[in-house]
Amino acid sequence: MSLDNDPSGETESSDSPGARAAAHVRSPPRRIWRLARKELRESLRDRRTLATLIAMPLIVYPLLGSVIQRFAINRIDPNAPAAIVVFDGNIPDEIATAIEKGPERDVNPADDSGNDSKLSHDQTPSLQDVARTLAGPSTGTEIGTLARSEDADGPPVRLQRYGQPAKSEFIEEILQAKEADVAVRVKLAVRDAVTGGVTPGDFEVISLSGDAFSRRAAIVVEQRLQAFREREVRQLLDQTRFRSSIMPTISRHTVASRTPAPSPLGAFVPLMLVLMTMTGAVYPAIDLTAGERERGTLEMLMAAPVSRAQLLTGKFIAVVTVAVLTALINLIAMLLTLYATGFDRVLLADGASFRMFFSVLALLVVFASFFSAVLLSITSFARSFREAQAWLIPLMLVSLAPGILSLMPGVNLTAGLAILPLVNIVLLGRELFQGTAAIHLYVITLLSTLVYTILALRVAAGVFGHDTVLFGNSAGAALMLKRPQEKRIRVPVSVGIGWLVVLVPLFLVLSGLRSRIVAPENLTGQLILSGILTIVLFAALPVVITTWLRVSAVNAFALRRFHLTALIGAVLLGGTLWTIAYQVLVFSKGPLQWMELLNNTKLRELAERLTSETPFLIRIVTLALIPAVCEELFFRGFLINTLQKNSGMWLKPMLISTFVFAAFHVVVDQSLTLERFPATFLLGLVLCGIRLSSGSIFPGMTMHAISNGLLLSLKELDPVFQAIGLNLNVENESSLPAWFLVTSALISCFGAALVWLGRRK
Amino acid sequence: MPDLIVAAGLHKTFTTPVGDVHAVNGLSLTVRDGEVFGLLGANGAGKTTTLRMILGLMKPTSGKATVAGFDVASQPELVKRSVALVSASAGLYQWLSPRELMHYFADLYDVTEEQAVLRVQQLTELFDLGSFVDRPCAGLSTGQQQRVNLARSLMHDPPVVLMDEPTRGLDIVGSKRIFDFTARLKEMGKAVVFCTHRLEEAQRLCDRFGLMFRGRLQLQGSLAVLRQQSGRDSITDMFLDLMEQKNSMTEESMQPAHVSASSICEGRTE
Repeated sequence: MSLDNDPSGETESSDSPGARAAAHVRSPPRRIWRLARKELRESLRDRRTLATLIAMPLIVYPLLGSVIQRFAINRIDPNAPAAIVVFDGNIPDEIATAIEKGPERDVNPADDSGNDSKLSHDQTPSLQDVARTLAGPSTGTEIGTLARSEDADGPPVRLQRYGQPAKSEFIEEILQAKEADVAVRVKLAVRDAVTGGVTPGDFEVISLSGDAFSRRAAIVVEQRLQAFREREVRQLLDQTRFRSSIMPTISRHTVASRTPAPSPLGAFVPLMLVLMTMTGAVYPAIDLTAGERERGTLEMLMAAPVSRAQLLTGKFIAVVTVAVLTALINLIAMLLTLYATGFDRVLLADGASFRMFFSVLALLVVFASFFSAVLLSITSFARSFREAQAWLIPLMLVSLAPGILSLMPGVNLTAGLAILPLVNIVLLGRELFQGTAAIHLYVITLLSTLVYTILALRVAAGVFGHDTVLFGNSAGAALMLKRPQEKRIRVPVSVGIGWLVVLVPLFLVLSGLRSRIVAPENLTGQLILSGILTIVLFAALPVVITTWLRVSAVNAFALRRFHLTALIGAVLLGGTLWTIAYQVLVFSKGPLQWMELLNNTKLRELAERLTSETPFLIRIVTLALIPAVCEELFFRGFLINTLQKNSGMWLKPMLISTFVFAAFHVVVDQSLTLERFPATFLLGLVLCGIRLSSGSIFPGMTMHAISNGLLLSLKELDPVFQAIGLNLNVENESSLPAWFLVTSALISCFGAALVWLGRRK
Repeated sequence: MPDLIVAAGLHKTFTTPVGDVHAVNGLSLTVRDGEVFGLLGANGAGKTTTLRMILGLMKPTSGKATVAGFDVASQPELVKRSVALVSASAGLYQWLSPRELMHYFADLYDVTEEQAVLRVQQLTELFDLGSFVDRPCAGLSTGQQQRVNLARSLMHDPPVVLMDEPTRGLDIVGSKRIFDFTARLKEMGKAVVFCTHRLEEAQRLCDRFGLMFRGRLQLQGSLAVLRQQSGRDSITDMFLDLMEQKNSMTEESMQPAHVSASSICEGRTE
């Protein structure tokens, strides 16, 4: 070794570095394993990781369990506020007591003398009782004197008598003043001439309208009155020769449905698990990327002869492992809490089984991988721990939205929702707990999540350790908008993407505001406003940005001369390509229908109203011309310009710009029309192709306008089509005739060839 | 003796929203084995960017560099195996011990287990890490951390050592240790690039110097050559002259300070 104190240490230095470098190179899996092992070792020694990994679940679940239990016991606690019943002064005390105390009091009349509001010690509801009480109507029971009203939602109600009986005419007032919750009035009291006793007449139970508690109390009062009446009748019958046995008895039983109604708590449990898994992954993900950069260890790592992909994979494995460990500990802690509190019988269809445990765990593993990949792709951008945290807050908020959606009643896992990240995991988790998960939905959820994981990892691999992230300084927004001294050819990509980020919410909000400015019934007004909005957002503001940044309009929007051949080609494409796009649209509906994502009745109505209620010229200008001009300026001009690093770069700008173009077209009148995506994507690609080959925006603009115009005038052109023997049957959105499609496709190909011939040399 | 580092016409331009920044502008230099080259300049002169390009951490906008005969652009992995990077801004893994850290880096550089154990022992002795080699790095002092950092960077015993402000934040004792160590590296025949803005300490240590200002190597050569060219005795005076001179010139009229390979040779032979 050359560093020992012996001066003859030159022996090793004289080795060829190349020879040393080539010797003993570790295989990639072994290398990745060693990288991951170190990351894990470091993470697991960190107090903060340990806190989220072990301490949190150990504290959170028992705490949550006891809070729910406390809350639940409160709701059926004999000492909780009772419903106050005010009795008509004419009602005999015997009946009032029967109503107040319920049937049990008759079994053990000695209790009547005791304090009515206290249950004896052994009557205190157990956790299991609480769980059963919360379980829903199917397992309704009575605990002590707490009557459960089977017809009303909610916990049992305890009744308490109003201070003193009231005069019949004041009963409503007492209720209205909220001094009592329910009232019992006797409408007709008859005094028996022989005995001198009072025979009650018709009873009336009065509750406060719009007050659920009062309504529930009224139901209980009514049930007890009926029970009292039945008992009286039976006693009377027993005194006759008929005996009470001639009266039919009615008993009530409940049986649990095979598919239990999803309880809101059912989605809450998987959501909680998902959130805890996220929390477990967040800290290591930040620490191993942005944290390393901040501490200056990332540069040392990048200086080592290890590829970025291997480093990232090592980190990914470490983050996933910590997340899965968190998930596992949480799952165990949660199941133990559920078991101890008795909630398992409410939330888990068949109780906790190993099968359920492992399928939920598998789901959480897949989710942990997905979320870790997303986290790494974001934290790899960040230059410091704090910046990473700032980035993750919006991510967490965005992640909460689908979680909350899954808590909504009536939202069930469908094939469509099974491809929606996070929603699919929470909904599937709920179904797994309830034992109702369909196998194909399980597979779709796992596969789609896997695809998202791979995509997120690809993004992370592109960002992690990249020059600009590793060494760059974050240019503030102020710097981005600072006016440069010199003229430029391109809008910086940060500004272009920045505008896009602003544009999306602006577009959605302003589109929504349209109906505030002009009445929704005024379709012509709506169309004009929509046209103005398109001009402002997609043309005017980008022009302001490029002028400010001293990028000439010619460069920014490709306002260049073009070859006439390219224009002719574009006209032919505009005249024929819509048929193929239309057919793609028709085809796209099939799979979406299957995924239950198609809901276009509202839009079809809108389309019909547009045709019948607005002038043709307005429609053509606002829906064909303005979009053609403005969208070309923005998507094929501004966006392509900002996304291209040099004029030779085309594929990436083309794909990104077209994707954004298609995504904007999916949102129509604040509804998502996913079926439009493939067709618009196809048109966008062709328009991009024309722009890049001709070097100018104008041929594409022409094609766009013709294509839009033709689609809008299909109804007006119907006589023309009929004349050539073509029945398009556009209203039913059925497939076009094959010969028509083939002819259109051939003409389109010819048009494309012309565009190619007229390309910019 | 072979040139272990050869850089020719290195340029690095950063594109920012307000325009292009030329961080390194046509830099050429060579460093042979057993030589300490002082890359001197104020903060932001482009020293660190130059080191990063030589190491292959950053792609040059144009220009070429080779390290130990390997091309930085096409053989980055072999270049990285031949270089140790010592940087003041480098941190340590807080939850690992110096021993674990050294083994981890030995692993990254594919040093065998047996070699690594031996090497850790030698470096622990050399840098006097014995008393804290098994304690977590989080509890070490700045000087101790810098020593661990040096030991870590030399685990794979490379022929080239790039030192970026290695004495930043160190006290006199700590700095002296770095100087002694650099002298030892020289004895061992390593090619060392020593980046610093502390000119006096560099003057004592380095064989040749490159004075960087605004991304360019304005002066280059041995102390004797620099004295002859500038008419000044100390490097600090030379540097102050340079700054004054350049500041008085507008950016446009500045003459590109091309440092040709021949001038480097001249500097060396003197």
